Amino acid sequence: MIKPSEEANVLAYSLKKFGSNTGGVSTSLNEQAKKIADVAYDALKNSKGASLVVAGSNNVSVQILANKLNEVVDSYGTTIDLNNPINLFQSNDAAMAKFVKEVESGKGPDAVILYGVNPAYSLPNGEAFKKGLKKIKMSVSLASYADETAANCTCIAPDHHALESWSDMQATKSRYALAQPTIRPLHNTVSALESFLVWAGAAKREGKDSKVAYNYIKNNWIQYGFPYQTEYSDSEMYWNMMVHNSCGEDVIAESTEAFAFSDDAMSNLTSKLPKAGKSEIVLYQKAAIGIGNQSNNPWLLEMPDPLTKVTWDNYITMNPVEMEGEYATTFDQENGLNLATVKVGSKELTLPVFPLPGQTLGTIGIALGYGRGANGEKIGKAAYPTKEYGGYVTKADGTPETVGKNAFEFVSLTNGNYSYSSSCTITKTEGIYPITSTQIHQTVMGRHSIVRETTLDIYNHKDKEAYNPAHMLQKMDEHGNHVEAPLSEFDLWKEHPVEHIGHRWGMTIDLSTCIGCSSCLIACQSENNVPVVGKDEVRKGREMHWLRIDRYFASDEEEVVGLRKDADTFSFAKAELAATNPKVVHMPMMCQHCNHAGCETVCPVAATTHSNEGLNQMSYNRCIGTRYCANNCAYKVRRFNWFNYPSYKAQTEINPSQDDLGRMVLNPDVTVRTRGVMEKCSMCVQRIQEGKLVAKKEGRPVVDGDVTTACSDACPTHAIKIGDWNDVHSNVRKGSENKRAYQALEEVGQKPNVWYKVKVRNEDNKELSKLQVVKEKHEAHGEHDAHAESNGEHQENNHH
Amino acid sequence: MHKEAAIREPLILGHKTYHDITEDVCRPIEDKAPRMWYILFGIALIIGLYGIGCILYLLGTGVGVWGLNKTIGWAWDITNFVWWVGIGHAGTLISAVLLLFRQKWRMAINRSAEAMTIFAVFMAGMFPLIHMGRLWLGYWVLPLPNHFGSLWVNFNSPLLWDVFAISTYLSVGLVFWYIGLLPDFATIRDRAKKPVAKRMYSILAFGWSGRAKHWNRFEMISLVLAGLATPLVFSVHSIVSFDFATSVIPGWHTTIFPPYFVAGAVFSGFAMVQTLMLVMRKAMKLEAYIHTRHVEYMNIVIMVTGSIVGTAYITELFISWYSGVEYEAYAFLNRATGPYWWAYASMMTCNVVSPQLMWFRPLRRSLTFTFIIAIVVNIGMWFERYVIIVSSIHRDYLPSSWSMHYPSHIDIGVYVGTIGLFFVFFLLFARYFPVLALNELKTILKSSGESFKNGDYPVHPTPKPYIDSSAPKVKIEEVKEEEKVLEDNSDNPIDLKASAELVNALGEGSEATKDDVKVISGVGPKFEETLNKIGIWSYIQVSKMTKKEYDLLDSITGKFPGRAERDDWAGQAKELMNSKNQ
Repeated sequence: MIKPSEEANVLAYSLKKFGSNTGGVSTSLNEQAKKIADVAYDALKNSKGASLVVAGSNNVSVQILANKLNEVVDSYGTTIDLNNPINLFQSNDAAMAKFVKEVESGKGPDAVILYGVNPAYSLPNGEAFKKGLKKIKMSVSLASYADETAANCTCIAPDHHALESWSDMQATKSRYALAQPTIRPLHNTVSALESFLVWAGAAKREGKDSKVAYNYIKNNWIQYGFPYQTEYSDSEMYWNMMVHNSCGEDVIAESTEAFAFSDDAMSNLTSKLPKAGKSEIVLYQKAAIGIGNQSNNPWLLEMPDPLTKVTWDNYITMNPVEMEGEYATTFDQENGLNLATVKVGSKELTLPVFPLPGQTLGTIGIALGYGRGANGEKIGKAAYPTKEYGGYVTKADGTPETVGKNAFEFVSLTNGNYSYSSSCTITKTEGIYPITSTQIHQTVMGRHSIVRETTLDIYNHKDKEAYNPAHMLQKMDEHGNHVEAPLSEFDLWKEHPVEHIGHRWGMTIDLSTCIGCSSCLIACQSENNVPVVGKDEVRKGREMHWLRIDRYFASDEEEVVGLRKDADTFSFAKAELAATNPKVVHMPMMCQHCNHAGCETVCPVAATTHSNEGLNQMSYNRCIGTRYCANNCAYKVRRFNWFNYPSYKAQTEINPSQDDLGRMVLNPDVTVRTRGVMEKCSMCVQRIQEGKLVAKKEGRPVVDGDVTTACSDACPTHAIKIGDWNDVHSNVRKGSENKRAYQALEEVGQKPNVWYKVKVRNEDNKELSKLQVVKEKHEAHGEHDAHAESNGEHQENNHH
Repeated sequence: MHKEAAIREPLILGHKTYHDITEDVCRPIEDKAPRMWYILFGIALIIGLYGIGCILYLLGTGVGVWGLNKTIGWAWDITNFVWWVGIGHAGTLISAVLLLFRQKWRMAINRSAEAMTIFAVFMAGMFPLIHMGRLWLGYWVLPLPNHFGSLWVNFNSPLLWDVFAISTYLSVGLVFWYIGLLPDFATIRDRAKKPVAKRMYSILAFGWSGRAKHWNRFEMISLVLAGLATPLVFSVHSIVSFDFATSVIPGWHTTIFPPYFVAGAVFSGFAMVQTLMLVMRKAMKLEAYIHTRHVEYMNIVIMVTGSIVGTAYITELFISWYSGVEYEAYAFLNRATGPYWWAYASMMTCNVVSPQLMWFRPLRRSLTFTFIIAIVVNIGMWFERYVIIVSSIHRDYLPSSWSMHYPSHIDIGVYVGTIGLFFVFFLLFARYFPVLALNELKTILKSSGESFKNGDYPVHPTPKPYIDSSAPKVKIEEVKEEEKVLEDNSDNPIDLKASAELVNALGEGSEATKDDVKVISGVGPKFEETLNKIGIWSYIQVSKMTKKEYDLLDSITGKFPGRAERDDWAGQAKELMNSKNQ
C-alpha cells in the first residue's frame, strides 16, 4: 500500500535495483512499501519482455519513470505496441484550462459547439466555465437533455440517443466500426452528424426519419473503405456486410522501427513530482458511474459498488484502522456513517466516511461522477434521491438533493495535467449519514465451502485435494467398517430424474476471472425486468437484484479468503473484521437451481417447483407470498415484492416501469411481477426456451452456445458460462468436472446446478502452501480397520 | 365422584352453597358492569382498533410496511404467531388433559382458560394470514378442488401442516368450550329477566333443559372431546415447531424442537392464565373459587415446563458445539454473543431463571409474586420466539447476506393491537359469559357430609398418623388473608355501646325480620352470627350502612377494617332486597 505521492519513489526504487537511471528521484521507501516493491522487482526481473508497468497517476514525472521502467524490462515491442494505439480517452487538459480562462475573461470565441461533454459539471472550475459560457454570444449544446452545461447554452440541438443513431468510430487504430440504430427515434431529436452537416452547409434538414446521417456514413464507407478491400465486388454488398458485421477487417500495422527511450526525458523530474501530504486524497471513478455521464440512470445508481457495495451515494473511503476513535461506526440498515469534511486548497466537501479495508493509511478516496443536477437542472427523473414515502429529498430552497456530491472541484491542474490526487485535510463533522450498502458484513468468517482460492504455484504443482478438497463423510461399508466417502454419494432424497435425460441446465462461474465489475448484474436487471427500489428500500435490505456480486475481504484469522490460518485458535469475533490490507474475492451469486432445493419443499402452494430440465422455477401467479422459501434458501437469493413496484407511489421517480417511456425498458418476454410474490433468477428461462425453439426450427439438437443468459453474455471476462450439463461436450459439463470446480455450501446437500471455480492468484504465498497440502488419510481409519479385524479374530477365536 | 384428602385446602372456600355459586357467577352478568370494566374495555378497544388500522394499512400497501428484508423474511409476524399459539395451549391442556387426569381444581379455571385459548388462537391465526404477500389468495393453502388443472397444495410443506393443525385445534377448542357453556347459559337464561337477554341466552343455551339425558350426553361428549383435544395439545405446537425444524437454517434445523415447543407453549399458556385469573378473581370477587391453591398448582406447572424449556436451551447449546457443524456452532455462538445477545439474555433470564424461584413455597403461594413472574414469563417467551426466528436467519450461511432486523411502527402496532383485541374479546367474555363453569363447580362443592370442610369444623375428626402434627396448622395459617375472613372462627366479646349506636343508625331488627346475610359477599356464617349479636338481622339494615357505620362495625368486630366498605355491603344488600321483592 503506497500513497499517490510515493508512486515515483517505488518506480525509482525499482529502477535503482535494476541499476538504471532514477532521474534523481528519491528511492527511500518505508518498510512495507519496500517489501511490496521487492516482490514486484523479483517478478519483473523473472519475466522480462513479458511484463508491463502501468502508472495509475497522470503526473508527467511518474509517467516518465514508468516508461523508463518499461524500457528496462523490455516491454517496448513486446507487451507495448506503439503502432496500434487505442484512441479513447484523449484530451488536452492544458488547452481546456486555457480555453476556460479565455471564456471567463470574455476573450473567448463568438460561438461554441459542445458535443458529448459537460464541462460545467466535470471541470474543477465548472462554475467559472458556466459564467464564461454566458458571455459567449452563441453557444450550442448537442446534449440530449438540458444538463449542467446545456442549461446555460443559448441553443440546444438534442442529439439522438446512441441506440437511435447511425455512426461510425475508430476506437483503436486498427479497427473501423459501425453502429446502427436499434429503434426509431422516440422524440423530436436530430442526429448530431446531421446537425453538423447542415451547419456546414453540406446537407438539408430532412425532419423525422431523416436519412442524412445514414447516407453520409454509407457514402463514406463506400468511398473510403470499399476500394481497400477485395472480398466484395459490389459496393452495396460491401456496405450490407459491414452493417451486418458492425466493423471492417482489422488492419494491424506492423512495427516498423524499434522504440528507443531517450534519457533526456529523465531530467528535471523531481520538480514536477506530486507533493506529499499527511493526508492524501485520491479521486476515482466507480465501475457503474464513471465520470457521471449516466448518473441519472437508476439501474447504475442502484448498482452496488464492487468493493464497498454501496448504492446511491459517493463517500469518503478510509481504512477502518484510521477510523478508530472519531469516525468509528458499525453501519447497517439503521446505523449510518459519521460525516467528515475534506478540504483541498480552498474547496471543501462534507461526506460520510466509509470503512474500506485496504485503503492505504494516510489516504482517502472519493468517487467522481456524483452530485449531478445540483442547481435543479432537469437531468432525469431518477437522478435524485427519494424519500421513504416518495417524493424527492429536497434542499432548503426546494430543489432536490443530489445523489452524492460533486468531487470534480478537488481536481487540480498541475504541470498541464488534471491531477486526480493531492494532499488534503480531513476533519470530523457532526452528524450521521444513512448509508445504503447491500452488504453489511465484510468477511466470509472462514467458511471454506463458500469461497476457495489458491496460488498459481499450488495449482500447478499440487493435487486438487490440496486446494479444492471434497467434502467427506463417514459411512459404513459392507463389512461394517467406517470409511470416508465424498458427499456426493450421500442423499436423503430420491434423485430428480434430470440426469442423462433431456437437458439439465447448469452454470459455471470462474472466481479467477471475475473482476466484480457487475455488468452481469445490470444485464440481469434489464433482461428480467428487475425493479429499481430506491435508496431507502435498499437501505432496508430490500434490493431486488436477482444476481448479486458478493464481496469478501479476508480477515486476520484467514490466510486467504475463506481459509482459516489455524482451525484450533480461530476466533469468530476476530474473523468478523477485515484485515488492514485484505485479499478480496468477488463471487457472483444467484439462484443455484438446487436439485434438492430447500425452497421447493416448504412452499405450501407449490409455487416453486423443479423443472424436468433441472431448473428451480417460480410460478409467480401461484405464489401467495409466505416468504418461507426465502427463509429456507441457504444462498439468500430470493427476492420478495414488498410493494407493488410497478405502481408503488414511493417509487414513481425511480422505477422505470411506472411511466410510459420508462416502461420501454421492460423485456416483453418476462413477466413484471406484482406485489406480494417471490422472485429470483430463472436462469433466463425465456432465453433457454428461445434457444431450444431456434434449434427445433432448424431441425437439430440444441448445441452448446445456443442458450446464453444475460449475465453470461455480458461478462467481459467470460467468467460465467451456461449450458446443458447432460451434454458431455458442453462447456458447463467440462467446467463442472474441472479440478477447480466446487459447489458453494455443498455440505448442506442441496445439490446446486451452479459450479464455482477456485480463484487462482498469480502470487507467491508460502503460508498458503503450508496450509494447502493433501491431507493424509485419517489415521483413525487404520485404527478402525485394525479394530474391526481384531474383533473379527476375536469372533473366530470364540468359534474355535 | 370427587374425592379429596381431608388435609388439603378445600377447592371452594367459604360457606358457599349451590345457590351461592350460581349467584356469584351470574351476578356480574346480571348486574351493571362496574366503571372499571368500561375503562378497561375502552382502552382495549382503542388499542385493538389501532392494531386493525395498522393491519388495514399493511393490507393496502404491502408487507414492506413491516421491517422485514431480503434476509429476514419472518420476524415479528411469526414471532407473534408462535407466541399467541403458545399462549393458546393452556386452555386445552387444562380442560382436556386435566379432565382426563381428574384434576378437579381445573374446574375453577377451565372456562376462562379455554376462552383465553380461543381468543389467543384467533390472534395467532391472524398472523399467518396477514403475513402473506397476497392474502386474497390465501385460500389456496386449502386443498380445495379447483379449476387450475386441479392444482394441489404441497403436502411436504410444514406451513400446510400448520393450516391443518391450527384449524383443527381452533375448531375442537371452540366446540369443547361451547359445549361446556351450554348448561351455564341455560342457568343464565332461566334467571334472565330482560327479554333480549333471555332470548339471547336461550339461543346460546341451545335448548338445554338440564334433564339427566342432557347431562349424560354432556359428560359423554366432554370425554370424547377431551380425548380428541389431548393429542392436539401436543400436536399443534409440534407442528408449529416443524416450520423451523424441517428447514435447513442453522438454529432452526433442530430435532429437539417439538417437545421443547410444546413445553414452552404450556409454560407461556399457564403464565397467561395466571395473569388473567389473578386480576379476574379480584375484580369479579371470585376469591373463594380461585385461590392460593389453584395459583400454586399452576405455578408448579410453570416451574416444571420452565425447567424443560431451560434444559432444551442448554441442550441446544451443547449440541451446537458437539455436532461439529461450523454453521450450527456459529448460529448459537451468535445467539448468545452476537448483536442479539440482549434478546437471548432476556430469554434466558425470564424463562430459565424466573420459574426456578417457584421451588420456594412462600414464593409460589404469593399472588403478587406470581403475577410478576407470569408477566416476566410471557415476555421471556416472546423473546424466545424472536431469538429462534430472527437470530437464526439474520446470520445464516452466506455472510454477504447477513442483516439486522429493525421493527417498523407497523410491526409494533399490529402486535400491540392484537393484545388490545385479545382483551376486547376477554372483557366481553367476562361480562357476558359465565366465567366459571358453574354447573361443573357444583359437582365439587361439599356442603355437608364427611368431606365437608370449613373453618368451623375440625379438619378431620381423627388424627392422621402419616402427617406430622404441624401439618394441619400450616394449612390454616397459610391461607391468604382474604380467605381467612371467610373462615374466621374467633369469638370476640362485643362492644355493647358501639353496637347500640350502630343499631340506632341502622334501625331495629330482630330474628323475625331475619334475612340470609351470608349471601352478601364477605359475610360468612360466623360473621352472620356476630352481626346478629350486634342486632343486625336484615338486608334493610345493612343497606343503610355508610362510611360511618362501616367504621363503627369495624371497631366492634376488629376484623378486616374496610372490608365491608370495599365489598359495598350496603349496595349488595340493596340488590338482594330488590330481588327478594320481585
